[in-house]
Amino acid sequence: MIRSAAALPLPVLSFTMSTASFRRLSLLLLASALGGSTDLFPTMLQGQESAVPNAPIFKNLKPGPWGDLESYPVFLQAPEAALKLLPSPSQQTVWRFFGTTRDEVSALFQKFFPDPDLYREATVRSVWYLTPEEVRVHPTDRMVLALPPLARLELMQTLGKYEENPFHYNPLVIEGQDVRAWFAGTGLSEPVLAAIEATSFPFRNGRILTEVSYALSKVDDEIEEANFLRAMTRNRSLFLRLRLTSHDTLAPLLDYWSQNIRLKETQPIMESIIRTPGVERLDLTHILPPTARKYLYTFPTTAEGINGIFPNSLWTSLNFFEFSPKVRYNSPDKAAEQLQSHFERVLPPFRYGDVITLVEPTTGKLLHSCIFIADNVVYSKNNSSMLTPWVLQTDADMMTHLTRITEFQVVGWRHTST
Amino acid sequence: MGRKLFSWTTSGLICLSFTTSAQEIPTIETAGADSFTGVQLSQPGPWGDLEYFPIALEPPDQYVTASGHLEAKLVWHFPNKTLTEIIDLLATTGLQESDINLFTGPGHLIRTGDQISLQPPLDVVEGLSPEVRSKIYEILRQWEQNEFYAKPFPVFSSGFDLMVHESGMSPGSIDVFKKLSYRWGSAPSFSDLPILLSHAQNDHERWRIAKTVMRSEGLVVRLKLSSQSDLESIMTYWSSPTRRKNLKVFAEPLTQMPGVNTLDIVHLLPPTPRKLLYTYASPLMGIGSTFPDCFWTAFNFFAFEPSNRYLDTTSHRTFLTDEKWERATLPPRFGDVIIVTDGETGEPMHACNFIADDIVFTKNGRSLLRPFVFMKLENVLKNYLKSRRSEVFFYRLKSEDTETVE
Repeated sequence: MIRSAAALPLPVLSFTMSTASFRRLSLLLLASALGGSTDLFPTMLQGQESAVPNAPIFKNLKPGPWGDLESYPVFLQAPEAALKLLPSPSQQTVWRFFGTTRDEVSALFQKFFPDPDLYREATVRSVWYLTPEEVRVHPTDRMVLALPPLARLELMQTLGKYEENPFHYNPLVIEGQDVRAWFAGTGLSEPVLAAIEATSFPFRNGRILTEVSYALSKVDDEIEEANFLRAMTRNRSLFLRLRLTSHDTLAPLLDYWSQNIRLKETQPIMESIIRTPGVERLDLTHILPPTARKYLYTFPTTAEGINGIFPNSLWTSLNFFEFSPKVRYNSPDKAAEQLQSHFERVLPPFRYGDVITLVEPTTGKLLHSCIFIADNVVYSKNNSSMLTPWVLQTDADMMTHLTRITEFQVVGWRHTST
Repeated sequence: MGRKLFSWTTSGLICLSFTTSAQEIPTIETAGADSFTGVQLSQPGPWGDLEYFPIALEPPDQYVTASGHLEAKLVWHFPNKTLTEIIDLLATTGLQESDINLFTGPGHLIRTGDQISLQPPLDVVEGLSPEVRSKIYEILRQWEQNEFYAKPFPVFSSGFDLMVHESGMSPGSIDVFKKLSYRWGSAPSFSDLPILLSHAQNDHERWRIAKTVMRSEGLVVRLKLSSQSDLESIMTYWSSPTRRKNLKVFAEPLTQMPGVNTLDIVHLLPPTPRKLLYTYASPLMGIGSTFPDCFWTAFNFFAFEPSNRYLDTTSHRTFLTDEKWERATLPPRFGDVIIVTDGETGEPMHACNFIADDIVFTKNGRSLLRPFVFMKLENVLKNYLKSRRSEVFFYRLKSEDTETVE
């Protein structure tokens, strides 16, 4: 079992995300951990400015043992069948504080709203409900708009501990800094876009919107509300293509991509590409193992929850090479057992198929995992929600989605049969 | 581009009948001229503009080892036949009397209880004329104990050169492979693995010969897209009938890039065929010794999780008449099940799924050595139109059974 840092004798990469810039802090820690190495995780955490939905373009990944890979972004939105299961949120903003007192919440507001008039509005003019379990606050629109970015981050971390605050627990993630580019083509009106711009805040490689109710209050009609809910599920994924031009370069590529037990042989397919005039690229989907290929770019169906649990990141990573997925890998304990018994820890540079885990530094608890593909691209499912797809994405985009993970250590694992 | 087997211009329920000659064409023609022609184009249709090219697939190493074929010996079984009957049978093939005497003589005749089998010398069999070998194989394939003759290895319809390309076989072995290949009906076939293995110069080549003979052909199929593409119509074709996946998001960026770009249609497949394409069935997919075959593959095309009910071979007729499927009307649609039946008995012989134009998704046989692939329908049918009369039917998932799958 992964239980503590002491149980992790190999060097691990530690990161802390406070209210400071995650990217900057991560790089500092990373430089310390790796002596300034520029291997995977420096790439992973330095982030990249996001491509925008209206500018599809093939982009080359950094060359490496994976060969010449090119990518273009695709933007996934949950299917209508899943959206129908999503209850429309209220347009009234509610902040629910648990395990705290009115005075403590007031103190927090004093920090958030240094302006005396705003503080008065927060503590006197807004509606509060007090119960022994919680302090429930209905902030005014002015309060919602006035929160500075650092306060929004702190509020997300405070309220996001509880599922009762659904959009602090699972906020809307904008992969990139340009709100209008991200929502291009979604049918959202200017007032809604302006509301999102005003209330979202920078976070890692993108922006976060927790005040969904406020933005929703700006929609014109039911059609725009439906568009808004649909746009909330937008995820950026990558299409990858491997360039294959010569038999001379095939051997190292086969060595890299032919990991673990496979039910198809990669070599004849690659050779077929090289042999065929006019064809130079192989969709990377064909190299992925069957289960990963089946789920890639899809959202879970209700059928996948038939056992009572929807697939999460651990399920996704540990089933990557499994032909028939095992439900038990959803459990952090079972996943850790599997890692300990069938995998060995590895340091960067990682290779195709390695399981990258993020673990809680003090307890060793598994927080998240993904599969290393190449360069800075991972295969991941960022939570167990039906509205979260299986994607190929940059590790920077993945980290933007992991809003509840603040301090973590990175541990890489490689299957012992590799 | 090859000749179209079907034309989809007629209307009404789809049932196509074929009458084939039982006569075999002894050898395959020298292939290769069509093997490296590069990308070919499909007929345009509601599926859009498709391009495709052939690929060679090899079974995983552990499957080749487990098959036992690497150690295969040349044995001809004649169940329940007396020696006299065997000699008479061989005499009908044009085999010379001296060879018959040799094959049935000491060292080559094996008695197991009251059963007789022959182990003819490899070099003598290799030296037989194609006509004689053809007639002998026709006799041998009536007994399933003669596995290589009853179920010969398919040689690529798309070209022999493609099959042996980068195979690791020596030129001499390739020549023997080509010489001993023959047509069964219209299907290029090969039965003489033990002879071919005897030509291996070393263990490595022996291994490469086995893997090459077990190769299967498939197609990579890609949708061509440009700013001129009618994306709505094309995606409507690929989305029917049970899909909830928004396929447009994959294709749309390609229409916004300069020039013509291609989208591999693996992304347009439902989850189960997407998972299985170009793979070999896992032993874990079987029940007992029954593994997924063409029927399991075809009827599970739209299922998110495949049902092993379709492993029950006695139920093929039931599937066609149950409440989920109905006879299809023209034109065929994405995912329609194509059933090939024996025209005499009505027994289903094969099933596959219509993809577009004349391309199907198929698993040709129950063997773990046969992968899930795209093929041209005419090439699939070559392996099944061997009875005197065959019929092809199309079935479609009923609309009330089209629950969303992904």
